[in-house]
Amino acid sequence: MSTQVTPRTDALGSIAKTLRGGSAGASPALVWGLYAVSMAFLGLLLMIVQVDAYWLNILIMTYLFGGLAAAWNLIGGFGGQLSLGHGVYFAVGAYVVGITSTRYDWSPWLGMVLAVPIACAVAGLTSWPTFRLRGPFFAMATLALNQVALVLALYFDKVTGGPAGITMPFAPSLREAAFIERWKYGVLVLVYLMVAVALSTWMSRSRLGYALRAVRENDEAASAAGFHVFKVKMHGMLLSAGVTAVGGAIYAMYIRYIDPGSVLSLADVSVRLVLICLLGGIGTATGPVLGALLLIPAITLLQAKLSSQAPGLNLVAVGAMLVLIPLLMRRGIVGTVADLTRKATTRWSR
Amino acid sequence: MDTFMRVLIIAVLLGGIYGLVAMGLNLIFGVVRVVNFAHGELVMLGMYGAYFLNQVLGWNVYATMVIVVPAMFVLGLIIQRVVIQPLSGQTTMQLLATFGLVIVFQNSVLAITEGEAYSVSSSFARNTFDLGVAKVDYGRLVVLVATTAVAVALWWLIHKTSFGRSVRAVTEDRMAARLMGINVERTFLIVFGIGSALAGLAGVLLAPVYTLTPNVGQSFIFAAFAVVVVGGLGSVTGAYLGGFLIGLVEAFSGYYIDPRLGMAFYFGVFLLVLIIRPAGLFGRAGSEEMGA
Amino acid sequence: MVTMTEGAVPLLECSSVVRRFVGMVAVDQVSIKVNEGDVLGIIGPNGAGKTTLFNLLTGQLKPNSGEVFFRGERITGRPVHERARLGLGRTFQVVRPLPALSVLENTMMGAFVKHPKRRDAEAKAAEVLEEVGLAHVAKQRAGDLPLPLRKRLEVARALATEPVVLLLDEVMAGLNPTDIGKAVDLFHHLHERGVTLVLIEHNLKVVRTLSRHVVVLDHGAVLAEGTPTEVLQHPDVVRAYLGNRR
Repeated sequence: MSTQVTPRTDALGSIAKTLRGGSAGASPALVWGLYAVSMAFLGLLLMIVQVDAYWLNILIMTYLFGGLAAAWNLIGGFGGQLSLGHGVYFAVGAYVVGITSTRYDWSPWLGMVLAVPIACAVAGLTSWPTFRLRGPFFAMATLALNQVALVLALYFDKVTGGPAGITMPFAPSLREAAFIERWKYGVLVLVYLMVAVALSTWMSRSRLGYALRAVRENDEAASAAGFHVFKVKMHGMLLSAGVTAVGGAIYAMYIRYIDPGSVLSLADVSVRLVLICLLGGIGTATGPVLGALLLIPAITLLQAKLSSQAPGLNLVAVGAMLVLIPLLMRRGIVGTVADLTRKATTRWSR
Repeated sequence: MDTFMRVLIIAVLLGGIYGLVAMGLNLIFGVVRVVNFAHGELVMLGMYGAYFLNQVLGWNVYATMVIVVPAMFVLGLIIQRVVIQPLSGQTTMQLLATFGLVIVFQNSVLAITEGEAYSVSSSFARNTFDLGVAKVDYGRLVVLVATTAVAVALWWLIHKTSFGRSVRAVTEDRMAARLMGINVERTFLIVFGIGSALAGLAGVLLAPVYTLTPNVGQSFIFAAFAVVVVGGLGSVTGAYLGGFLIGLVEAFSGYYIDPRLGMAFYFGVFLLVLIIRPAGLFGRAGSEEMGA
Repeated sequence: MVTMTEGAVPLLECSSVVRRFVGMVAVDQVSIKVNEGDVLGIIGPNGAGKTTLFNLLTGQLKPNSGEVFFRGERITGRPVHERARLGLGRTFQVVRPLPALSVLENTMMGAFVKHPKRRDAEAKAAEVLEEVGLAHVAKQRAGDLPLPLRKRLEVARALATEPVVLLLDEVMAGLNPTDIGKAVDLFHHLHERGVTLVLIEHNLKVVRTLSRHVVVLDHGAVLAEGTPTEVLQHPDVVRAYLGNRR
C-alpha cells in the first residue's frame, strides 16, 4: 500500500479513530489493546466498588445495561435500524429463565442457553415484515411490538404469572446462579459486558459491520456494492436479539423477580438502551459503555434524590436528556470527542 | 343481533375518538414528515387544561376549548421551532426527541398532580341518549360529531384554500415548493401548530369521557399510530375511516374474545396492513419509504 | 444496430423494456445491446429516461414489460445485489459516500463482494485506490473529500466489486476541465484493461472521445443510435437534444 501519512498524525489519528469506534483504519493490536485496557479498568472499578453494597448494585446495573446497549447498538447503531422494541428480547431472556427454573427446575444457565434461539426466532419472525419499513415506520412498528408483548405477557398469566410476575427462589448455589457474595454478580455482568463489547469491536471491523453501515447510510448503494440488504439487516438483528436475551437472562438471575411492567417497560428498558447509545455515541464500539457509565448511576441517583420530592421528577430529567442530546450533542460523547481530536490532529499535521 | 348492534355502536364511538386523535397526528406526519410520539401527551395536556379551567374558573368544560385550543397551537409552534426544526433532516434524532417529550410531559404532570387521578364532571356529557339497543352518552356522541366536522374542515383547508395549496406543494416536493417561493419552514410551523391544536381539541372533548391520569395519552396514541398506518400517510380520509376500522377491531375482538387483548388485535391489523399494503389503505404507494 | 459482431452473445442486453410511473412512461420499448469490450454512451435531454434505464439494467427498478439479459442469461427479476455479484457495477448520479468512514473503508464496501475476508478486501481496495489515483487520501474521511475526489471514490467503490461492465451515471457532472481530463484518462485505462463501460453523459466531447457507440434517448424512447459522429449529426438528435442547448 502506498498510503503514507506522517507518523505523528497516524498515531494520534488512529487512537482518535479507535475511540470513535470506526476502528478499521487502526491496527488490530491497537484496537484490541485499547479494549483490554478499558476492560481491565472496568474490572478494577468493580474490585474497588464491591465493598459498598449500594454502589456495587449500581455498578452491576451499569455493566448489565452497558452490555445490553452494546447489543442494541449492533443493529440500532451500526445498522441504523432504530428498534424501540428490544425490551421484547430482554423479556424473552428473563422469562425463559424464570419459567424454566421455577416450573421445570432447570438451571438458569440452561434457561439462558434456551433463551437465545427463542429470542432469535421472535426477532426473525417480527423483523421479516418490519424490515420493509424505513425510518420512523420501523421505529413505530417495533414500539408496537413492545406494547403487544406487554399485553400478551399480562394476558397469558398461566405462563408468565401475569401482572404478579414470577419470583425465582433464592437458593444459593452456582447451579441456581444465586450468589450470597454479590460481587459474583459483578463478575457475571462484567463478562457479559466484555463479550458484548468484543462483539461490537469485531463488528466495527468485520464484513457484516461494514455491510450494516453501508445499509444505514444508503441501502441502494449497499445493494449495488453486492450486499443483500435484507439478509444483512437480519443477521445484525439476530445477533443483537440473541445478546439482548442473554442480558435479560442475567437480569433474571440477579433480580430474581420478573414482571411485565419492569421487563417490558419502555422507559426502563427499550428506550433506555437507545438513550445510553445516544449519550455515548450511536454506532460506535465504545459509546454504549461510556453512555452506561454516565447514565445508569445518574438515573439511579436522580431516582433516589428527586422521586422523594415529587414522583416522576427523576424521569423528567431523563426525558429532558432525550430531547437535549440530539439538539446539543448529536454524535454523543464519543463522536464529539472524536470530532475535537480530529480537528486537533488536522491542525497539527498542517 | 342486539349484542352485535351494541358492539357496533361502541366500535363507532371508539373509532371517532381514535380518528380525532389520529387526524392531528397524521397531518403533522404527512406534511412535516415527523412522527410525533408526543401527540398523545398533547391530548393529555389538553385534558388537564380543560380540567384546570373547569375546576378553577368554573367554566363549562366544552367552553374551555376557547383557551385550550389556541394554547396548544402555541405549544405546537414552540415544539416545532425549538425541537423539530433544528433537527430537520435527522429523522432518528427527531423521533428520539419527541419521545423525550413524551417522558417529560407525562412525568411533569405526574410530579405536579402527585399521581392523583382526576375526572371532569359534566352533567351534559354523562346524559345518555337511547338508541333502542344501547344508550350512548352525549360526551362520546359529541366526539363523533366533532371528528366528522374536523375531517370536513381539514379537507376543505387542504384542498380549497391558498394555505392548503402550499401545504400540498410542500408535501409533494419540498425543494420544488421552495423554488415556487413557498416558505417551507413557516408552512411546517403552522401545520405543527394546527396538529397540536387538534390534539388540544381532542383533549377538551375527551376530558369528560376519560379519567385523567398522566399516561392517559397512551390509551389513544398507539391506536392512533395504527390508524395512521392503516389509513395511509398524510391522508385525512384515511385517518377518519382508519379510526373506525381500528375501533371496530378493538370493540369486536374485545367483546368476542377478551378486552385485554384489544391492543394486540389492532396491532395485528397494523402489521398485516404493513405487510400487504405498506402505504396504507388510503395512502399513495411508496410513501412509507420516506425517512431513511 | 449497436451490435457489430453478429452472432456473438452480447454481454448486457435489454429487449423492449418498458417502465411506467404514475402518469408517465419513463422508458418505452427500449432495446440495447452492449458487447464485451464496448464503450456505450447514453445521451439525451433531462428526463429522457437515462437513469431509469440504468436502474432497469442494474435491478433498482423492475420493468413493467421486456427483459434484461446478462451474457444471454435472463436476469429481469434478479435483485440488485445478485447482479452486482454477476459483475454489474454502477455509480450513482448523486454521490453519497459513508462520510464518517475513511476512503479506504468506503472502497472496501465494494471489495467485500469478491473478498469476504477483511484483510483481502482491504488489499483489493488499496489496489483500486491506487488505480483510480486516490491512494494519497486513503486514510481521510470520505466526508472531507472535495467533489471531484468524491466522484472518483464512487467509481472506486464500483470498481472494487470487480465488475465486468461498469455503468457510470454522469460521473463528469460538476467537474472542471482538468478533472474531466483525468477522469477520461481513467476510463480509457479501464477500457484497455477490459472493463466494458456504459456511460450516461451530458458532455458531448467526453462522449465523442470515449464511446464507440451512442444511444440517444428522448421521451423514454430510442431516438437514434450509431457511432458518435453519425448520431451527433442526425437531424432528429440535433433538434431534440442539441437544439435545446443552443
